Amino acid sequence: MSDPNRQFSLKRLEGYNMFTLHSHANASGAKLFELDIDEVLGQEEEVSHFVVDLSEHESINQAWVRALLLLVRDVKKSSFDIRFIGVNTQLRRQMKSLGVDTAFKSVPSLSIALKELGVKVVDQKVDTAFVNPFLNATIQVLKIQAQVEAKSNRVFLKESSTDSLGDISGVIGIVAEKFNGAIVVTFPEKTFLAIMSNMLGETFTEFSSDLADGAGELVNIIFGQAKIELNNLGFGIKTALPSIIVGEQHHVTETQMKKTLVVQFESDVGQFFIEVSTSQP
Amino acid sequence: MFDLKTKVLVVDDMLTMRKIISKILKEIGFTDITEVPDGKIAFEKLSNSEPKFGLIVSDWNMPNMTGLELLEEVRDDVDLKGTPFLMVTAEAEQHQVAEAVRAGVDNYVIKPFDTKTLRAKLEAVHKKYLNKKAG
Repeated sequence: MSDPNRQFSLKRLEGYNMFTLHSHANASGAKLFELDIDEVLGQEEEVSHFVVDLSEHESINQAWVRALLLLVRDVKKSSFDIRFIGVNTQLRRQMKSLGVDTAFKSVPSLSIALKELGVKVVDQKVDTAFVNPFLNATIQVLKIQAQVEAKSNRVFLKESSTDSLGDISGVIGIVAEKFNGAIVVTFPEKTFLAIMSNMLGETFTEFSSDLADGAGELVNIIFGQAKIELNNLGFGIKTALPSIIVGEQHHVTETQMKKTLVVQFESDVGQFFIEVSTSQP
Repeated sequence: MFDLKTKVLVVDDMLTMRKIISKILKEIGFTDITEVPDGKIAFEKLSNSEPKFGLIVSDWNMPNMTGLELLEEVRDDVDLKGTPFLMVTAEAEQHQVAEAVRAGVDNYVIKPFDTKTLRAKLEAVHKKYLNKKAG
């Protein structure tokens, strides 16, 4: 199902099929789809639940509405079910006006769709799966915005009640479908000043209140990058609350979180840390 | 590309981000850069400045008046509506970008960005500006 001329993509995953309708979908593609619908449904052993991702669309043409209605019908005929994700307000209105909103049952996220379909997702180890997008985003953001090359080095656990390892911390508290948590990017003062000097094109030798929002903005940018990957992984991030904490021997983690995962980074301007704490909502 | 003497208004509630954007604009060669911390102040500056600003680079998420609200105000104003507008956002979410495009943004840039990326975006904004001007 990787024919580039197709206007959709289909991934057969554990317990469900992921169907994505691409933005260039048009009426002729819908006709072809109708001809290929048996192939889309799959061989007997491949028929399963479907999740249809419409996030590339603000509206869809009527030919595709008809084609997707056929898909809904055939999936249900095979005793499976189907959910639609990525349906924005405008598209939802269109579906309602066409009277297909009941057939195209939409839910806010992939994780809710899978829950409703009864698909058991292999338990992700939240800490590890959750932290990787932050590591990637941190490396990328520092490289682009501050011309600092960093790489993750050591990973270890620490008691959440102990102090942060840096002097200046940007904190993002996260509320997600599967967990609550906090991400702390914490810098020793020397590293922070070097990063800020690179970012702003001035030399800073001591910390000042003017620089305080730099840590928060860095974490904001890192979070913005990481969020895309996190939500693609189905974490369903709902809100993020940034804040900045400054001072030696501060600690920022909520007390109900027993352990904090720490990733130590080495960079050409010194070391810094990302601390990740999660708890069930 | 824009005339590097163009008056540029940088709008962001975060001091650090304003400084980053200004630094990159200076690296590109712009010399007349004004920074303001929110959309409301930005609109006042835009309305009261003479000569007029020739380019707005604005953050999306800001208190008082968001980047999107500022964009809408600018596009609704007889004197300002043609001002080239580049939106800066940290969240590469398509629905946000689509909203800004509907409201008349000339282009957008996703944080983090470097000089090369901002220059390319500004070239696209300028091209669009010339096309709009030509009719």
